[in-house]
Amino acid sequence: MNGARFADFAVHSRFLIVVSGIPSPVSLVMNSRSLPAKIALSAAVVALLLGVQAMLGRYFNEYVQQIVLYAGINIILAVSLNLINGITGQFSLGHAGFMAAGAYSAAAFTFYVGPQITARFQNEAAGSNVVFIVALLLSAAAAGIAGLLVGLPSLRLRGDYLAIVTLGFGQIIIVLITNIREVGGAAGMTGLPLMTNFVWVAALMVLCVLSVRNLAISHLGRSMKAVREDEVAAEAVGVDTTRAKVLAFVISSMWAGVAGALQAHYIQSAHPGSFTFIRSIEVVIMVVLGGLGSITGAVVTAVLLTGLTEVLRSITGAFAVGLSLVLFAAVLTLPRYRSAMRQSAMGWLLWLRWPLLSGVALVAGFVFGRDWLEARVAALRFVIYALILIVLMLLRPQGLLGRGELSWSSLRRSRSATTPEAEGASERSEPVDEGVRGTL
Amino acid sequence: MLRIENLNVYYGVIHALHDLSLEVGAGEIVTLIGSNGAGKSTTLLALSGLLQPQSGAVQFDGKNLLAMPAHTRVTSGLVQVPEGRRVFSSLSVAENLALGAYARRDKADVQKDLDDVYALFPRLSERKSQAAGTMSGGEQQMLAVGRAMMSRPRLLLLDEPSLGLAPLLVREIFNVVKRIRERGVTVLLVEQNAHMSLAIADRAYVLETGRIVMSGVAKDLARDARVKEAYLGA
Ligand SMILES: Nc1ncnc2c1ncn2[C@@H]1O[C@H](COP(=O)(O)OP(=O)(O)OP(=O)(O)O)[C@@H](O)[C@H]1O
Ligand SMILES: [Mg+2]
Repeated sequence: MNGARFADFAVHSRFLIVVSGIPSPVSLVMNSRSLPAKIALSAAVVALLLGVQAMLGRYFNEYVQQIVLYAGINIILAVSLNLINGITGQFSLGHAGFMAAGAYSAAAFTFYVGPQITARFQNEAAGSNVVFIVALLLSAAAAGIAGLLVGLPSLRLRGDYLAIVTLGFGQIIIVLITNIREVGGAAGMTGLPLMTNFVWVAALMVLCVLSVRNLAISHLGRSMKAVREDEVAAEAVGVDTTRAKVLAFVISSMWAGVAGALQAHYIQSAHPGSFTFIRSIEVVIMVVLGGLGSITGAVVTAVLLTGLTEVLRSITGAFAVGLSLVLFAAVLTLPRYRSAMRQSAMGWLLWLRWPLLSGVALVAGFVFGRDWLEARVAALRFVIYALILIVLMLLRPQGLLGRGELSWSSLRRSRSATTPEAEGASERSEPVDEGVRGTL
Repeated sequence: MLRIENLNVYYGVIHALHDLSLEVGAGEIVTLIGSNGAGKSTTLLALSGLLQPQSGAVQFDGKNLLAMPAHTRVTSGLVQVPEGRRVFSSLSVAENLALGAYARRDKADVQKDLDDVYALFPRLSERKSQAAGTMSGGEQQMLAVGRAMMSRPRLLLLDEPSLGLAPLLVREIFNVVKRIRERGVTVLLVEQNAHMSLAIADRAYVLETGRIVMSGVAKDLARDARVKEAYLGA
């Protein structure tokens, strides 16, 4: 059954790529290898995903599976928003609105039309897969149209103004949905079929990441970066800045819509409350923390922050996060004290004084205040979450990866760059990511 | 090649250009001089399509330029180097130059033009992977000109390329402008440095508060008493 599911997916996902006009990773593979290699590769991917799914089902409980799926959905959201906020340099606060457009259009389809279609299939699983594929395409289309509607009038706006317009637009979508009785109004829509599983989320996530990456290093992606850097200069070299911005909005919202559809068919409901601007801001935080414009950064922070919200449910978890943050801070500030450390042992003390102090404070709080904290963990969770964001932002204002990308070659480079001079140099050349440079 | 007739531009109630008329012939270097706020940049922005004039006509190679959107003006051969350098600062030198060729269809010749630009500005070829924003002002100006050359201009619009550069670099930039013309590119040069620009231009126009007040052969203007007093500091 699962094999059939994936075969369906493989065929239709290519269609999805053609629709969105993105150079596809599938086509990359298809162009560069012989037919047997292609088949072997696809088979390997299918086997891998099915294997992981089986393993998740067997060795991990519902809760862990849920976190994994949420992480995947958040990756799709963060990476797609990165196209607008990072690569094109615009500022959208409406991602949750596009997500809602996708979630509700897909939900309405699977709820009202879905059963009729499934009934025509002898094999129920095949029928439900066909329904889901159509629902996903529908969610991308609906959200894409919403993205076009926001993108067009917002072209003249920049920065804060654009942020306000997208924020307002997101709220308008929510109000609209709340007033449509057929999709449940304020109470939301429940009783949706469970269609999302690990294979769908993983495959779509990979597709999203690869297509955004391919887009970023393509001709069109270059024009988006030019818009980010300087709109006047972009016009002066002949970039159609209108087209670049609108396309960024449309493609990004299509993926947000897909993420919305995946979420709705996992929790089997759609509720206006899950698509408020708080959700948009969550995604913005992922993009900013990962480093605006860095795709791998968005992936890493999407996973970390999804995990963080879960870990913070217990005080032990919060304690562990706090300690790792202190360690992280110590590592980040190490270069500043390197010369002092070479001169005397006092240098070590200088470096470690803040990490040590805060570490001791954490341990003390954990040991002596545990019961008090435990009783208030629900209320404190968001405070701690916010504190962690503040600390991360102070430690690394340019985001985890800046504009660079995480790759094997970048890891090797950072290991060889040990002298302060080399470090300064790599810091300065950071925005130029290796992959882009190679293709330009 | 370029013919501007009775161009009027307003910024709200400010009338920035009054019935401006100007012509540039193929192969010429024409300079437009004037003091701060005269409307020089406004003229170039209207030509490259970054702002919309309220009335007037502009013909470029017989085509109605004002009907074209900004990005197609670049493909038709009219390329502007905007005032104040405006390089893509977090992209590398090589990426900036590649973006210069963004709108071109003849991808095959891009490599040759890239070699040409590096020959014109050896400094750039030494710094291919440096982030443009970290380069010196003079280097950024060279990059801005080099990037425009990558668009294969037939008419290059330069907005105060010498602004803020040391005397030696100013000389170098003007030399580059001459060499660019030798490659068959027509140049419309906006400058406050009237001394240097009159020395390399064929013809010149003088702009004062949005009006052309004088025009003629550059050498004659350089000798004109009024120009000397107002722009050459003599
Ligand atoms: N966006 C704008 N809004 C309002 N007024 C403007 C705007 N841009 C330019 N102006 C005005 O139009 C006039 C011409 O400006 P312009 O930039 O063309 O001068 P310029 O000759 O290029 O001067 P400079 O040598 O200082 O660059 C000035 O009075 C300026 O204040
Ligand atoms: Mg000016």
